Amino acid sequence: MSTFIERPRYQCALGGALVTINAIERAVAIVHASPGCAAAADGAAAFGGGYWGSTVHDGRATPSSNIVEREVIFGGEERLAEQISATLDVVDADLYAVITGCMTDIIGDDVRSVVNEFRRQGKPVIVAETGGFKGNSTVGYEFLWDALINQFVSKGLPKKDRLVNIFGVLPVQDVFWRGNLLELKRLLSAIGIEANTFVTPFDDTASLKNASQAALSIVLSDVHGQKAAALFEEVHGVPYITESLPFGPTATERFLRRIAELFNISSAKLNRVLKEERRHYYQFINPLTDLFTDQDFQRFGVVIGNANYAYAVSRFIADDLGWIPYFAAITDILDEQQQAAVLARFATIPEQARPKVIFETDTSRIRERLFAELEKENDPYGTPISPAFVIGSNLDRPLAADLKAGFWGVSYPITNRVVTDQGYLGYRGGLRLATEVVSALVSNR
Amino acid sequence: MAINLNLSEAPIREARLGAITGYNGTLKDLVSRSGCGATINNCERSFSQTSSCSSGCAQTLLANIVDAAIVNHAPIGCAGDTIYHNIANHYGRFYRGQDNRNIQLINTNIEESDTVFGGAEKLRAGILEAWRRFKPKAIFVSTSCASGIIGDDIKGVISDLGEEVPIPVIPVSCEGFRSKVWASGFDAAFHAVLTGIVKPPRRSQPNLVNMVNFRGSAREYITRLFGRLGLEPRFILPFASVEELETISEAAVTATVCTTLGSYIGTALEEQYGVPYVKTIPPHGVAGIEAWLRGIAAAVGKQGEVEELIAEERAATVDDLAEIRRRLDGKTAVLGMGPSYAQSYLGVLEELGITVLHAASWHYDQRYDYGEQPPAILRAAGREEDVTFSVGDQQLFEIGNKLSRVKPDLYFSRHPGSSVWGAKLGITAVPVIDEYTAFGHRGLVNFGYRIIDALTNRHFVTKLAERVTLPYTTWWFEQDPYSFLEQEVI
Repeated sequence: MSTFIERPRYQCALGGALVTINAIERAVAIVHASPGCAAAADGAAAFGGGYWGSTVHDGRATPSSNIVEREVIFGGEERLAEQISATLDVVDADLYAVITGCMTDIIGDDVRSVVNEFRRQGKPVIVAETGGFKGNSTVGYEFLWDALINQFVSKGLPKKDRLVNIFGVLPVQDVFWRGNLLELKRLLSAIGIEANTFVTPFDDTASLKNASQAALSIVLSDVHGQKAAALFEEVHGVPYITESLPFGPTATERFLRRIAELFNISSAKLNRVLKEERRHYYQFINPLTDLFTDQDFQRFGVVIGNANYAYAVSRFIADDLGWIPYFAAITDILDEQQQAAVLARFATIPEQARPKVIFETDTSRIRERLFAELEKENDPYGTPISPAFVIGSNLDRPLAADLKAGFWGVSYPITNRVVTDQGYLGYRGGLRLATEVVSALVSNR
Repeated sequence: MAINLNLSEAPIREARLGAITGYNGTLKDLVSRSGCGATINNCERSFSQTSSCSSGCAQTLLANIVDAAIVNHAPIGCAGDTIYHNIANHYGRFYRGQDNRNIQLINTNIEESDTVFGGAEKLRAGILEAWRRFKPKAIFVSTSCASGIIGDDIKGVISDLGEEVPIPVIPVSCEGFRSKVWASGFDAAFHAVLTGIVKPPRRSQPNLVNMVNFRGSAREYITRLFGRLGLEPRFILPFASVEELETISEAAVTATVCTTLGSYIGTALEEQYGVPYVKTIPPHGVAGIEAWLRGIAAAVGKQGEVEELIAEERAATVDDLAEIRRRLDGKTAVLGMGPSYAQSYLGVLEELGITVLHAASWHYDQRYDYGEQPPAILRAAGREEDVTFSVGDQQLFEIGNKLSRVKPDLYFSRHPGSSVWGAKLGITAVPVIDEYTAFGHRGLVNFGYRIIDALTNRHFVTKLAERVTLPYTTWWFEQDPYSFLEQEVI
């Protein structure tokens, strides 16, 4: 049974679909919804996503049918047809994705028929019904991928045996999706594998169109993008594997070894890459150690974020920073099966470094449940996790203050810094995260 | 037409104020055809871009009432823009020396099953939790397209709460699909405050001014100006407390920095409680501040003091203004703003020596709640020179096309997400986000120097424009900017 949520940490299905289209170069959304839906979604993405503003076809310039009471009564199909036709004239793009809002889904516009009329004329228009009440950003991401896979990706292309598709890294929900994916692409390329990442500013719609050529899909999440990858297999015969986001040296080495094995990459080549990357990390971490050890910067970790980040960050601070993960709050809306998958992932962390894991969407209840855990600790000094460090979203700053803990925001929403090409994936991403959390500890000097 | 506080919700601006979102012509034409009992017809578009939502406008005012909470009865996406409201909250609290705290908002997470079975139970749970969690002095229940269409009985849920929630719980009717004029959401918020919070006066507070604004950055400046008239401002709604809002009926006068914002509450307080509402042009620039201060002074009988104050402020800034005018002479601009600012800034830019080549207004209220045309547009239209004028709910494809044709030196905008499209065309964009930009004589000087600074080094936008792609086809840039606006039926 779903319930209310204090200050949601994601967008609705429409928002999730919209930001995914916006992240695809030369793709444009045609939003069939009330006047403010796309603007509110854009605001949530821009302000919560580290100030990711308009790329080319989006922001407050997003085409939108802006239906009002009249269409509620008479239906909005005519208005949609008119809007699509005009958008094809006005907006210069390769892919036009009609996505819908609560209003149009409730009044039951037959948007598929409207769109099919344009498809019959050979126009690159696709449609996904993404009414906000159907779920959150993840749901919207899956709906949009369903539309892309069935309506845009070419069928029956010859396979390329070292090409992979990447799913499960959601634009904006992962505020660092661009940096993470670009680093992933670089690392995979170093071991001889080409990756379709789709949603960075350096991807194009051609790679999307030809994505059925891939030999494998990699889903970097136990929950996000699982449906997309499964559907991709069903429709285009591309199998998939699931991995966690590899943040830092230990996780990245494990990840690359698995991929190298699957693709029969020579161990000489792999080891050369691993050695270079590891060297990059430690040549910078080494001279940070004076500060780190002199100041005893080991911390108890409280990690709050979506399933991808809560695990990947906990794992990094456990495996590489040598901190003690104490508590991890997963803020996604997940069903039982998804929760089990996430728990199984956390169970791979050795017990002495494994945090308590809760599933909680609501900011105040995260706090309540953490404090309830602390009560149980029965610590005679009243400070069972001192010193602590909270790695969460901007909404968790007050919690960190209550714990007298350090704080760094890496999860949506991030409003107190801008995000461009930063990312936490790989060795270099791990170095960045180490740099940032240690910087937070000295920021008042 | 008088404001009716017995209605459960404020009628939308299209119905109440003859507001339009589609027009293309000239300033003088618009004014003459919407004055003296005449009404101009709205024109629809066959291509449109996203606009904004009433619920965002309602929540931007209500979310920052310091000891109130919001229960947003909506799918989670409708609470997406609370991130922005929370930024405003963090800034506002920081500058007022308050601790870092999040806004108090719960979203009821309307899902598919609720659209079938109704969301009343979730709403009830959300209100109870907001009370338990925040212990607020009032709870506002904001509505959404989804809650509106499924027809949840919000008043019924609230009245069934009874003693369980012993504070005012007030519905705010701000469904996005009801109105294309997002400012209808301001009225929804004010209606909720007027009907659920404000109490009849127990005494009169002859020094108190209700100062209707958004963020209140000019608090010190206004406090000083008002102090000279023996008055004290109370800034509403953001950062006011519920207790402060209860007594706005006791004030001597209501003034506003934005006449789009202030019309409903100002008129209602005047009609209901006899608190005079200052109906002058907004206080931007010399003419604005002088008319506005005189309006306030007239309401409280301080005509003598105000002339002395005005003379001083004028004397303190006259040299700077002359210098600014000299340096900005011959510069050209296009402006795109909400109606109050679009109208007011026609005057402001003239005072700075800038020629406006085109003005776009995000909507246009043909009359305010007290029955008259907006004073600033009358003033602007009274000048000898006419100017092309368009009305559109931030339709940026029209603005982009217009900018590419007239190639002004400057694009002045208000509202997030608009200035960027000037910048991408290589046009220096000066957004007016702070409502007190160009406020008063001194604010005008600051604004003038800000514009000079923006023009002094244009590298950011000129280099950007050479390297970015615009969203539109070549075909579009060859069309008339208003070719998707339907022809007027006269």
